[in-house]
Amino acid sequence: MIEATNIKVKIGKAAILDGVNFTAEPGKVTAIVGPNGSGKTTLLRAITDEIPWTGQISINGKSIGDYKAWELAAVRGVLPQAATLAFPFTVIEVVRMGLTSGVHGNKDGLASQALARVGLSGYEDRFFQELSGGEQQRAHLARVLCQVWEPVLDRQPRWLLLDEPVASLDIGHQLLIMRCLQDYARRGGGVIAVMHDLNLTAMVADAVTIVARGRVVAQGGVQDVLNDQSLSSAYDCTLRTNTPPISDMRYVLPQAAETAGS
Amino acid sequence: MRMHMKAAALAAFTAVVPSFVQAEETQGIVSIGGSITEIIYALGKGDQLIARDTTSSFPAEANDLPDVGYMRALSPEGVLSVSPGLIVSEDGAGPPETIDVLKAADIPLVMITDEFSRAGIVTKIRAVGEAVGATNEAEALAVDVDAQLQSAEETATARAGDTPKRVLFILSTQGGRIMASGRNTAADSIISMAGAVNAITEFEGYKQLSDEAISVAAPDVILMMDRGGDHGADNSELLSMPAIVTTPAAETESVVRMNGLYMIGFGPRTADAILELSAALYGE
Amino acid sequence: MTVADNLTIPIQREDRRVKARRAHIWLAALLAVTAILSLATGPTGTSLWGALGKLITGEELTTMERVVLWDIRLPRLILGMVIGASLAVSGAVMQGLFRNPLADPGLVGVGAGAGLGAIVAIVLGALLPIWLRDIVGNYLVSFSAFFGGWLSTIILYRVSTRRGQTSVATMLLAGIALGALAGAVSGILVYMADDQQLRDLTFWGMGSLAGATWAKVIVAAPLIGIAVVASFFLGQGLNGLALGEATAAHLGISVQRLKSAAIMIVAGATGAAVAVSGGIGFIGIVVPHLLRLATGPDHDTLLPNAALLGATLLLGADIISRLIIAPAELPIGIVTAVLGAPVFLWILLRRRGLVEF
Repeated sequence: MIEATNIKVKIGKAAILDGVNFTAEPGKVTAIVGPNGSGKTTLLRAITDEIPWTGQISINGKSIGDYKAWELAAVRGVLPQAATLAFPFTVIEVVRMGLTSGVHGNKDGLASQALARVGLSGYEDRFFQELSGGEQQRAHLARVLCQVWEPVLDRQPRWLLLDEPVASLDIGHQLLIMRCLQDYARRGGGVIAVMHDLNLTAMVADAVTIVARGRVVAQGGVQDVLNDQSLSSAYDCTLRTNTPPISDMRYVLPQAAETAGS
Repeated sequence: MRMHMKAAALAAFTAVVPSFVQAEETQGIVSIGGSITEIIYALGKGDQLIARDTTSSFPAEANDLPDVGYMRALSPEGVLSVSPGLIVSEDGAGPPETIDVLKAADIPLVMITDEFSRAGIVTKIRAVGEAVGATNEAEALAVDVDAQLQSAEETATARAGDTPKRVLFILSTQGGRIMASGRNTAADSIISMAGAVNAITEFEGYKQLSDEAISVAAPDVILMMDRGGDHGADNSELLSMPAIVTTPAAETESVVRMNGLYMIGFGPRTADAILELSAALYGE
Repeated sequence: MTVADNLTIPIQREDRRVKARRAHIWLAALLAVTAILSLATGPTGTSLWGALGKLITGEELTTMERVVLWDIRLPRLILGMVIGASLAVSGAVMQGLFRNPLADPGLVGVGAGAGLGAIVAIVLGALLPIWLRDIVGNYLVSFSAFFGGWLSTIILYRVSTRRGQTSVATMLLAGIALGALAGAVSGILVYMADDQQLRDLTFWGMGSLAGATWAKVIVAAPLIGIAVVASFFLGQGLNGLALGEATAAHLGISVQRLKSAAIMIVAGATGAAVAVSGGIGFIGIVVPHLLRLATGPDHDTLLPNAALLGATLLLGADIISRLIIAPAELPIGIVTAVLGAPVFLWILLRRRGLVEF
């Protein structure tokens, strides 16, 4: 369980997050959605302790302030929205950096397995900087997967905290990665992902938190949260959700202005 | 200290024994400092020199000797490699680490005080003579040089009369910045010995001067070291520098260039240098 | 960084880790050979083998052999090794810390601070009371340069660290400001300097191992040795830092501690090296760069290899510097600059072709 209580983040005098409460459970993919500038990435960065915040954040019942750096690294992996890389490391070298903390068995095999999981088999010895943006993102995800490879360790769930993990991927790889995250959750791990694509979110998320204007405006299951009212209010435009009869998969369609009222 | 005593003992010893022993005792001299080398040659001991430093460029034979480098940046093994029996050096040879090693290698090392005056030159000649075992020759040379210097200074003073010229000694004009000599330098001494006045007396040593300071100094003549090359072009370039163009020296196009070692080396040729400089300043 | 689209993608066939580890052995062997060469060659032609033979048979060494081998070449060998290692390792650590292959300790004002220290000592040393000058003696310049390097690092750290966070950008800018300040103060002191002091400054600035003595070895070698060996423990941390500070922290690296350690190592190693040998350039940039090309940027193997190659290259440059114009000696800083500057330029041009910066 990851619990964040009354999280406030200020940049200068502006309150980016104003008393946010957020929970994520292991075994589930928890999506954080919201419009640009809503504070969804800020919330994730507070949970990953990247920026100064006030409030209470605990992972698996222990306040994150009580973790040592390497203990925290052993319990959660973090994928930032954009990661840079200095120096000409190869893909496998980057992925292996995820192996420096935590408990692992066959280290080298693990890095290759992680690459296979994100669809980058055979890319081991390519230079990281020469990959495309989407390939780099997947390589970084492989690194994060390596860091917390077993979803459950010592009976404690481990966590993947991801900021837009599929943002620059083509649709096929978006599905591949989301399946991979679902699989991690099915095996007992926890996944928190800031998401951009509402339909993809509706398809794979088990729980959704909508953040808007620095606050959580809705939190719960996909069917409860992704509805016309909460989405339209959060995104400040008219949106219509629907659930086709042949499946329970919800989808969201933007409504043109003239049909908004009908 | 030990080295000095050793050298002194050596000199005392060689003064009383026949000359063929002398020659053997002082074989393999390394001379550090242009004026020292000149004096050693003037004493007739040039054939005993086995190496010299970069500043030793006179007489021409000196250039054939191995060069152990600049006197303040001597390499210990470089100096040892010429197997010196004696090192005679101007004050200020270094670095100190090299000097320590040379002492450790039991090589007699004599440091000669450098003072920019008639008495200084004479003392230097005697000291070098003592170090290389040519006390008698040195005494004769000292007396000779002393007389020459006295006569040269008198001539120069007479030529200057009541209107000594103001002379600006420029060390370098690199990048348009003029490095000039103030008080207490070899250049300052040679200027006054040649019956002129140093235009800059505000500071000691060589410093960079502002353009305006040079205008204020109003030198009648600019004195520089001759580094070879086309003088005419150099002079017109020099005189058109903004700092200099306003000075009397620029008006009369008075630039004097002399060989550095000859002019400010303070060795046996200094009397000639005084006469030559004063002639350049005032005419014969 | 943006990646050019039309690049052909080179494939690394062999695992670079294996290559890099094998390089430890090759470079150590190369260093050993160079070290022996350094002991055996010099303008005097004193024979190392002859002296060793005498040592074995118990024969007494001549004064020349004792002085040349024991007082000149051996301290010079040790000092050359530790300074070469120190320059290369502090370059590699600095580049890892700044995540920029062109970073160099000179960049953050350590070199400038040390230089100012040396100038202060040369110019103001003459004003010291005699008793103090007697105590510090010939090593005043060295101590002062070392102190200047330390002090500038501490000031730099204070300026660029807020609430335990070091901003690399602030540190770079502060380094530039400190360098300018040190340059200005140096300028004032140089103006006050007399002729002889000016010449001392010029020769100190060029860098040389000619002044190597056992006293300098005793001052510099332990400090540099500790700094170099300590750097070997930063490998994983610096690798993580290549991903950015935030990501490094997510990997479980104590970024603040890593940065403090890196800064201290660089200050200690560079300060001590600059102090005893003056300014020796380019080793810190060229050595890590060549190694990254050959065996990859993994700091775990890069740092020990840099120490070995840096030591080897500086010893090589020193052999050149003492032989090329013998019996005079070319300052080693000139040798490294002549050899290193073209490589540095090549790095710049190559970088410009590959990535924009």
